[in-house]
Amino acid sequence: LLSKGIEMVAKREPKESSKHDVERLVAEYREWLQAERELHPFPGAELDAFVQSILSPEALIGSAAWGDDEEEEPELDGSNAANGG
Amino acid sequence: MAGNVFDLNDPAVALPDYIVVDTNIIVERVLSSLNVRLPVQNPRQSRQAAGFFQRLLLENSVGIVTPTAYGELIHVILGRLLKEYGLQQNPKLGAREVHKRFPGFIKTLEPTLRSLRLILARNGLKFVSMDRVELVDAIAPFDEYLITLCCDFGLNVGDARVLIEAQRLGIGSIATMDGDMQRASANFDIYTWL
Repeated sequence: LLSKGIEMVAKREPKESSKHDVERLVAEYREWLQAERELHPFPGAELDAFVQSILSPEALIGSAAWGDDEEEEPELDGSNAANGG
Repeated sequence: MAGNVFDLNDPAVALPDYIVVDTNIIVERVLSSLNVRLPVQNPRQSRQAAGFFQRLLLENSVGIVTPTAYGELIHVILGRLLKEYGLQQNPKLGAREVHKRFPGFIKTLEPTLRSLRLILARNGLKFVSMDRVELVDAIAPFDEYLITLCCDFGLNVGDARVLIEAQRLGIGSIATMDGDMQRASANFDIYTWL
């Protein structure tokens, strides 16, 4: 079964056009990011400050983002990120 | 294409020009912002995620976020915001209950989510829209192919969808904290922490 799956994936190599599309997207994004960096030179600190302004550490207690902590959706949960997502 | 597994603990491993980033790394990075004020639950993953984002910027690599990963990210962050609101209620409410009882509150979260998206973009992530990952060939339709990836590679639906989207975009490199994703290394370069 595994080899069949691999074979199917191998058959589905992306077209060259999709690679070119992504390269163009990435180039446009880099241009945008360069301009943003001049206005926001410390994006990591900005992210930290923003998250701290919208969430308190208490929101992290327990591993469930939704519902009661007993009914987990661990595969989407950051505190259990190594197991899914 | 035959892929490889690369260990991000190895400083000699360089990131490619662009790489699909799995949801777990982004969520871990966002939540690691709170670790300064909390006994850290996952110190290792937290450091790894923060280090990965630093590398994106330092190495001028672009982290591609596919529509499925983006949806998962919003789902988790929205859940945390609802949980936060529920903690402020008396008696305290869970996120699911807040979601059912306070639809007006959810509406107020729109600017917060938009701002978070923008700040993550400044941190090296390019969010790719759904129309970019539409079917590029017709060998197997999405519905059949999803089953193939889930069953043959032993992946959950989210992981399988991210792989399909990466492939449609023509990207062969995935960064993840998920050990299951290594099963796809026959066809993708998997960047992870071994």
